[in-house]
Amino acid sequence: MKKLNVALLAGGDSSEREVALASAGLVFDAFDRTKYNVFMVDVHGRHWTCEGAGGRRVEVDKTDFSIPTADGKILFDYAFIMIHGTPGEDGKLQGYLDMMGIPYSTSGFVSSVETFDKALCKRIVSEIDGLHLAREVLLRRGEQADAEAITAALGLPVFVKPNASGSSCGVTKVKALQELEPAVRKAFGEGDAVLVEEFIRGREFGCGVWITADAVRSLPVTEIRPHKEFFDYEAKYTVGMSDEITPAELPAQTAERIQHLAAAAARVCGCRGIVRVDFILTDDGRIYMVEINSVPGMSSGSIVPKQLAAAGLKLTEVIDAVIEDTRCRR
Amino acid sequence: MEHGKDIERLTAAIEASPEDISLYAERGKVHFRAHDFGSALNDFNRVLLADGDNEEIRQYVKMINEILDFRYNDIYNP
Repeated sequence: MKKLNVALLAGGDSSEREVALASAGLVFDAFDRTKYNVFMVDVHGRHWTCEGAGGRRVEVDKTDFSIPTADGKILFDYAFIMIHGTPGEDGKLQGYLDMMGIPYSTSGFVSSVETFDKALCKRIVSEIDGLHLAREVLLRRGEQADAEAITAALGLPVFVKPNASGSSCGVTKVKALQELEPAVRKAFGEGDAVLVEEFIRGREFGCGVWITADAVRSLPVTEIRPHKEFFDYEAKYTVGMSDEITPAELPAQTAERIQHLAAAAARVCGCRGIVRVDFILTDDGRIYMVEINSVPGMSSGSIVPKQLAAAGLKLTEVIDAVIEDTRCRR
Repeated sequence: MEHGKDIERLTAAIEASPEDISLYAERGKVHFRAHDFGSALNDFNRVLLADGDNEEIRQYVKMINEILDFRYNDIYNP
């Protein structure tokens, strides 16, 4: 059987670029080389480059999604997207690949756009029975943050975050009225809309979900115990800055509730491939959804690879199954 | 097909109320979801002509242009 030419799209343009490259490294090594020719493509702005013959960097021809070779070109058959943030998680690559007729590993175009927009995603999952959502105020660029009105509505502290970003970049926990305006300004540095959310006190959890055309499978739940005040960029990606316990130390019934809600959220958002849904569990047992990551971290320190291992799944087999499922998407 | 029905409904509404900019915004979003980026841009630009400060629609336009740039940039600037 002919081997599939797979472009492993890595890097990207967001503050999560370095994390995305680390994720892609683990995934690159895990492909079954008897089935796939894998090419790591560094997507950086308009320049998408790939290592060609003799270690020379070559530019991807985006008009036909190919790379040049000494005697012609290699056309990619499939795109495995391993970019956190823009353009891999916000729908831009999915929109491009759909236009090109190239199948890919993640949720589709519309689902990617909708899950990356935190406020929109919350509206979509709001009908799920038993799922709670933090109250919020959404600010678009140009709008003034009325600190008094916002804190009157949401109380203090509040979380201020970019509406479309990941890795907790640009996120601030605001404890005093005068801190709100600079926090909003910082969040606007990451995107064009800012979400101010009430603070939910509780334990943090992440739950991977694997969605195919025919099935939705939740992975074991992970508890995240950040050593800092919240799970910010440093806590997420610095070894020793958080404890991640997989499977989480939870009563079986609670873990099942989280898994059920993760699957329900992924399903209602039309996700595909592997996603991770983050939650907060309050002392009185309410489960709040924080966000859906449609391209979750896959580096050796990331949560989903640990959940796959805890479920007895090998990354090589999962990659294979994801490609099989999405090659002829329906 | 849901997309086609929505477009028909919104087009009829626009014919009845051509000054209602929110209808163009809504139809543009339907085109966007269906990957019909050219039609979406036409509707969104119509909205921006009347309401240049509409940040949500500006974001849609920006995103479409970025997607189209991936594909077409190399053709015009080899």
